[in-house]
Amino acid sequence: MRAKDDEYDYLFKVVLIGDSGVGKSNLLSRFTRNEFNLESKSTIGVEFATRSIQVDNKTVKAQIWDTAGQERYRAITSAYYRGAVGALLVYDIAKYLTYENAERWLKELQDHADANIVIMLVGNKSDLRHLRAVPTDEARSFAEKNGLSFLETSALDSTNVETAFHNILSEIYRIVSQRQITGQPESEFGPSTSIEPIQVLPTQQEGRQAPCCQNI
Amino acid sequence: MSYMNACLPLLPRLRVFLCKILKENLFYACRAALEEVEGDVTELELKLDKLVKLCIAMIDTGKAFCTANKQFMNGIRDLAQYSCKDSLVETSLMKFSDTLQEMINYHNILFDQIQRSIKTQLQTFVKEDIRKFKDAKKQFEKVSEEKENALVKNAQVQRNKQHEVEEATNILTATRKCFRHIALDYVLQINVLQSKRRAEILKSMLSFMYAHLAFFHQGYDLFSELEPYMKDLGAQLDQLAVDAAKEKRDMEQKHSTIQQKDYSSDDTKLEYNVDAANGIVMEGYLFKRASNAFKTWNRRWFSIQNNQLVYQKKFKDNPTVVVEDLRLCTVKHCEDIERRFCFEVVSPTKSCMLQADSEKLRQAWIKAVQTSIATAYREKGDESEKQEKKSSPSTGSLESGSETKEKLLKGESALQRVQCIAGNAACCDCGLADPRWASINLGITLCIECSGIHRSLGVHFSKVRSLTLDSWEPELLKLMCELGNDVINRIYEAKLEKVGVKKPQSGSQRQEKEAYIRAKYVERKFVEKQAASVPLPEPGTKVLPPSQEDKRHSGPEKSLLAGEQGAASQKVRSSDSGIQPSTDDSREHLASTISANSLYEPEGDKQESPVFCDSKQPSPGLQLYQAAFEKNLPHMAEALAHGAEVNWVNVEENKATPLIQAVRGGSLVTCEFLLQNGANVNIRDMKGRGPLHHATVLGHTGQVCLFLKRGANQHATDEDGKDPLSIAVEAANADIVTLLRLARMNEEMRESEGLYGQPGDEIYQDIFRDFSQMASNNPEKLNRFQQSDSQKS
Repeated sequence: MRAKDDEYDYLFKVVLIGDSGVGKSNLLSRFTRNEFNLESKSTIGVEFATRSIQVDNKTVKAQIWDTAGQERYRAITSAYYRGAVGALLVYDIAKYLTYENAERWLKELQDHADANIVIMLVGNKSDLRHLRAVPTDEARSFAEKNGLSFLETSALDSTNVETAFHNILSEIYRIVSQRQITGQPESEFGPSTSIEPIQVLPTQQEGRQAPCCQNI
Repeated sequence: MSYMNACLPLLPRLRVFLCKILKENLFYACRAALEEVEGDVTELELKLDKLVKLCIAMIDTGKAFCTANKQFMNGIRDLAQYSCKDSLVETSLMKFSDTLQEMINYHNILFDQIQRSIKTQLQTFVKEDIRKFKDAKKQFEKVSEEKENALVKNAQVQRNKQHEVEEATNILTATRKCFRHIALDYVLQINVLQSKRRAEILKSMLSFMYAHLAFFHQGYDLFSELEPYMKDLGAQLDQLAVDAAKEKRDMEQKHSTIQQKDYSSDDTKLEYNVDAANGIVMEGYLFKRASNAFKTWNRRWFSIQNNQLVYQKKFKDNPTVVVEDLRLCTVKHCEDIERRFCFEVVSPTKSCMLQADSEKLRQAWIKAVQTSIATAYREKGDESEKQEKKSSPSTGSLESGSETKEKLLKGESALQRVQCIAGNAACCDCGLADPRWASINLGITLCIECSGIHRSLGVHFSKVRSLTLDSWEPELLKLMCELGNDVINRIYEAKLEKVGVKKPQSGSQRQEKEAYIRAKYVERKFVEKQAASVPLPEPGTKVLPPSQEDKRHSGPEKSLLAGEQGAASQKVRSSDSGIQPSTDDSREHLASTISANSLYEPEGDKQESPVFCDSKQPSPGLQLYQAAFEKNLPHMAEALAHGAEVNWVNVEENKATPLIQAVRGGSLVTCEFLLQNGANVNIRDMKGRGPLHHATVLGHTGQVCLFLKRGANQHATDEDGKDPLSIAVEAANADIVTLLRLARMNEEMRESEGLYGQPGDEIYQDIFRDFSQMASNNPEKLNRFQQSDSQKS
């Protein structure tokens, strides 16, 4: 069963960013496990989850990195963004400040992520209609101005969660598959095709795979 | 009357008034004149009040001006201090600001004087003299009213009432007298005021004008003094302008020559210099194709240095290594790609697509890489050339290829850093100069021949690495730098002379070297039984019998057994009063004699070295355990030489191991040393906590990183059912949580898809490399969440 799960055509790394408490972790759990926790705690460091979806009859596996929104819970590494091809920039539609800070998060992406990273602005907690502080139109025009796609979601009642991830993964897929047509398919990252990697067990340390070497 | 006359020209009607007022019947006529005077005084009062107010406003504004001026002057002083490199600017600015400071002082004096001359003087005049006039006026009005009443009464009196007539007439006469008197007084007051007003106004105005005169005079003097300097400066300035113009002309000329040159050649540096002093063979901008799914092209600053191809994103960034060892890579043109001027650098683990700005530059880069490869072989691989050329695509080098990401990039090679440690400039075993190999578990440098012999001993005795061909993780390099040939030979060759064995020379036969190395490291014949430098056991620490040589290679169960054995003998000892050192010692001695079945530690040896029999001596295992906590690498090496079991268990302290103690001690290098000497990273103490648990609890991020790299099992739970991740989450230690989760994700990825070509794997390696380097080079960066003592090394 596992093997079947793990067969995929593409693996995309997507990061979830945004202020503390906007619901990044719940978006992740809703999408990957269909779970929602009203009393979820602050994320410490980073959390991961994966889920595969079908795009164009291809299996796209999303490896989603859920990062801590709170500065003091963020790890001291900018490698969060390394290799990421997509980012969901999440804010809370009931808290205007979290929307205002989207600009700062964009800056962070510009500084650390790939220049072509696909970014989607996500206004979460759309179920809190009576508390809305960020008008949909304002957010949409901000997204347009910055070349981001835009959706309002609710991790609580599942509105648009699936769509949001699906849209961003499709967009990434579209870009990557187009590039593969124009560019050469040669040498994926990893060992160059012309050189067959010879797997040699390390003679020491690197004990991940060979615990028998541990005690030498 | 004379003073009255003096003021008459001022008020011509007053004279009339004065004459008339004395003639009562004319009084009415002069009423108008009186009113005019009164109006005049009121007007004067208003005008003076206004003038005082204007003066106050002027002074306030002036003071504000002075404050602003002062700030401006401070700004000039700031600028002067900033320009301390340019003495001309500094001195002239200081001089000017001093002058301006003087001017500000003069201004302040001026405003003080204005305050005194106008404000104070006029205010007193208004307040005192005009008030006096008003008082007199009031009195005059009162009396004239009384006189009016007396007249009325006098008129009303009936003629037949003689008595009343008389009385009324008397009153009238008295009031009339009084009126005349008061009226005169009033007129006098008016005249006083009129005269004083003239004096006061002119006096205050005069002192005001004099204040100004003084001010400008002082200012003039001040600037007259400064003038020569200013003139001088002006002349210098002219000269400067001339110089600048000349310089500009020169620059323009140069510019045009450069431009002419530009047309003839490419604008970028084309030459590469293999023997460059700074080690940078070639550098310049290249486009690099990203290895992620997007394959974005980014312009980066690349350089070839220290046998590596590296690039920087920003000037201040640490360089990122593309090719760790140029000898392991090939470079080729790439024409089957949509972009021009591309070339590919292929290493065993990955390939990197690069693009130059022009064909010329591409050729230059390819040539530079190729030449660097050739030079690297020639220079660094000389002694091992034969071996390396044959075996480069096999075991040793590929292993390094997969690990080289960890390589330190400090401008200095591992060879340079390790060779400058005491004794490391010559082979540890035969003394040959410039050793280029190392035994990483011993912490020594070796020549190629001795390294071959070390290899043949097996990795449980010596792990050999090349200082030039292999990559060096930062913690391993630090380990090498904390030990060294001198330290190790003091331990392993302590008894050399006593035993009477001669150390082989570089020219000795291989067999001779082999026998010596075997005796030195396997049989440990030259190790002094117990060295004097061994610390005494701390009071309260119970001494266990020394563990045996054979235990060094035993598994955890066996060492546990040893622990129990120790505990048993411990009980015996403590039950029959082990307080006195002598008994304790004999006990200790007895225990060790009984349990010592070591081939290399015959009883006789102990007898021979009374120094060590006399003192209370911990077992090698305990010594290792203690030294690990104290971060004392030489003592640890010594304990191992004495046969300490690296996975020794201290039954007295929750069955903790030396590795756990090393974690508590907080040093990364001691952990690395134990791991290199076969410490099991997963042995847990009585509470079910292994090294990873302890490092997590203590917030030692660098150690967590190291243990995860060395395959620590992070799913093990302690007696409270907690695994390291849940401990780190509870402690909200973001760095450790990130490392643990990342390792977990990587595990899952590996489980499902093998080893190579994983983007996840690459990011995992990147992040772990980041943390390794931080832990070794900037440990303070990782101390954010640390709860206990700061992490040394």
